[in-house]
Amino acid sequence: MNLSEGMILDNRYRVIRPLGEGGFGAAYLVEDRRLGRKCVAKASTLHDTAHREQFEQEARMLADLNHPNLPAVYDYFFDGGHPYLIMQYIEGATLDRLKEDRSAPFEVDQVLRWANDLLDALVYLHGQEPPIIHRDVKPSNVCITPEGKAVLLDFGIARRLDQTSTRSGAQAHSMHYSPIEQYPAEAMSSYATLKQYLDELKAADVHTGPYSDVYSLGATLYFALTLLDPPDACLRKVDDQLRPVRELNPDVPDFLVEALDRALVVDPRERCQTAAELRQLLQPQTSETALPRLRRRRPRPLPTGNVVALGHELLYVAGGEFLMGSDDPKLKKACRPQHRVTVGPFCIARFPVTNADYQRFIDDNPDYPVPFSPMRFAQRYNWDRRARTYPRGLEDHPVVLVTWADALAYCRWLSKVSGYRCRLPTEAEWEKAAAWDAAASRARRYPWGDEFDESRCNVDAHGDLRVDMTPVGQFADKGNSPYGLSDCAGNVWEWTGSLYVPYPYNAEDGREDPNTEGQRTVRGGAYDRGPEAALCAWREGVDPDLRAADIGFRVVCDAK
Amino acid sequence: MRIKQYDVPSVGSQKELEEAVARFKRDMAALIQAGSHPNLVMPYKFHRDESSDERYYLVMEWPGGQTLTERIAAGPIATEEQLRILKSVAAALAHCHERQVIHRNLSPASIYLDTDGRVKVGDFDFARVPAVSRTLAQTGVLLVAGRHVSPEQAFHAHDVDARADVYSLGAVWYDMLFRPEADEPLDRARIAQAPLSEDGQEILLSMLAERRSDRPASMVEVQHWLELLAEDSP
Repeated sequence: MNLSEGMILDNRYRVIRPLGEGGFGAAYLVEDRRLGRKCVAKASTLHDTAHREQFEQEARMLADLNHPNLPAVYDYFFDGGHPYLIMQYIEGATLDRLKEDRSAPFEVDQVLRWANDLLDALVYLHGQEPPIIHRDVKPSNVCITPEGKAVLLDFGIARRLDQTSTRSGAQAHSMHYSPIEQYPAEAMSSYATLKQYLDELKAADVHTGPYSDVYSLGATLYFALTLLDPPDACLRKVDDQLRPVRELNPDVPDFLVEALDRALVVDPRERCQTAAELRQLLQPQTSETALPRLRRRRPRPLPTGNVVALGHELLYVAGGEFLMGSDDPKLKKACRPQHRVTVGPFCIARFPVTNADYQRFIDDNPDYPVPFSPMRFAQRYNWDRRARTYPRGLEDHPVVLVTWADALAYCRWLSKVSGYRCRLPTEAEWEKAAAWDAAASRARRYPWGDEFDESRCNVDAHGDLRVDMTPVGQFADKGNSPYGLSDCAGNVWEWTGSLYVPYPYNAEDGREDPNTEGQRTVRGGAYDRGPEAALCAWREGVDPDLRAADIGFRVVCDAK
Repeated sequence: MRIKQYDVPSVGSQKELEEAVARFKRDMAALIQAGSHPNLVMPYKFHRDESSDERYYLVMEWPGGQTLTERIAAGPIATEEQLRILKSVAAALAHCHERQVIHRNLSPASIYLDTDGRVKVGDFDFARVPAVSRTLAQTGVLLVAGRHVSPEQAFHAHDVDARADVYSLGAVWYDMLFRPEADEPLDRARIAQAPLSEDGQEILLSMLAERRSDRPASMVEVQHWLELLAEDSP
């Protein structure tokens, strides 16, 4: 279907000139004779009259969208049996055209602004109900307006996520820019590795999703920063020769390198999952001017009651004997038997250390690494390594992705700035503060009593893996221990200072030696574990170097 | 004399196209300058159609005879004959590679057997227009990646090197062994049943490795292996 200049479509739109082939059809610059403005007419080759209804449905869906970084859809009609969309004409030039006049990559700041524009558009599309996946983000679909704004063109193949009925050809891909999940396994039969991998994805029910646009956008940014098409995702699966962006363009800052790394992961399951997440990785960091360091305080006398150490409310627990462990034969051997243990007086934090708490430590120690793990499970809890800030919106969540050494470093720092002798609790101290009912002279199974109660803690009570972390104190009061501690059960594990070695507990047998190598005990269960792990007597050993998305800590200080 | 017509895809970057044309001119000039090679269809001249920017012609020697595609269709090829053909093609390609010319389009269709039984390689490809075409990908249709095209070439790697031709030569060997249909995918599992020694199977599999660093590093190395294989076979 070729339209020539001067042709009139739908009695209204006069063809000015062709704009080129796009996904699934040709585009023409037209003049709307009624409104006297230029528009783009897109002819769809995919829809014939038999798919009329589907086309109308899609056109209506597109016409509903309204975003400054997407062209508006004005109208649709059928002419000569072919369906047409009338869209806003965006003045400017596409990125691939702009590249042809350049010998050096685009400026990093400029690319970051474009990235933000495009991510805004993608966040908007993915936020529709159901989500719309663009599926064809690439340099020739990014138009830079004379004002320098980036607009994401070509909805030709945008599809609602739930629309599983794919017509022939709806499996679209653009060499170099499409993520691997957009390629059909059948076409790769000559390449055993690829075919097998794509079959595996299919079997795992991994299809196109928001992360698909994330990949394509990452590839587009890579292009803008290097002027090179990245190697195609399929080829990368076979032989990953993606040249590091920094090698090609030394101006690219760390956080951008990291963001691209996360977006350009070949396996969709390991990739940065959403446009919002990528946008956050690309946030311009906060000012780098050094914050004033907190004043070091002279040591204070040991407290004899509750104290507040730099915002941490530390509750006094009198020294004395308590019953540690459990005789419940259903519990693993490491938790048994129940035995008498004596601990000295101490003060223990009501809440675990939050991200906001930890931020002060990080700000005060500009060279200390922030909580970060490259693992996929960690994504949402990762700190911004460039801005050195906690994940947005999680200020009152417990800090996680901290190693045992990080927790100790925090305690040492807190000692210096608060004047109290802060450290991690021993597991005996932890268990006493969590379970011991001094008035009744007995240990509770859970902080609030002996029966599990879903409404008093954050655990995965039904094994549905859908439970997420909550802010600290979410279950304050009704989930509290007799000593008033909150969050002992569930939400996140807490590091203790103790080595994970069998009972009976004896603080003098070397298990509290910080220099002995070995697993450290974590306590309290977590949001991704069942009720059993939330038992006060439950203990687990963890490699001290682990940065887990469900392990945090709370502090204690010496008392008398 | 034979004239091959190249039609350039209308979609794609003008700059890329110009680069491809310039490289092809350079390649052909290098081959012409090197003088004739017994296993090469000699190019004479490469020029653009005066009436169209998108059409180029390559004037070359007339190879005569039949293509290897036709020969394979005609009936099974004896093992020693297969090895003779492979060695001849490898010699031609080694000659090209020495001059930094990559063939990029090797398949039985670009191998000619002249009336005297001489093997000649022709039909060099000038643009990166391999099986998985960017042009077609843009319109949303993906052609099945062909049997003779290495992954790096199929997916438009920026730096296709001699090992792409090594892969394609492996696929030519495969075709002679199994005589597959034109659009049949390559099935590496079949190679275990090939009437080849264990060494032969291993060489073929390595030539067809998806990751190019797993392939023989050069056509000279392939020639070496083929020589050893020819000596071993009775």
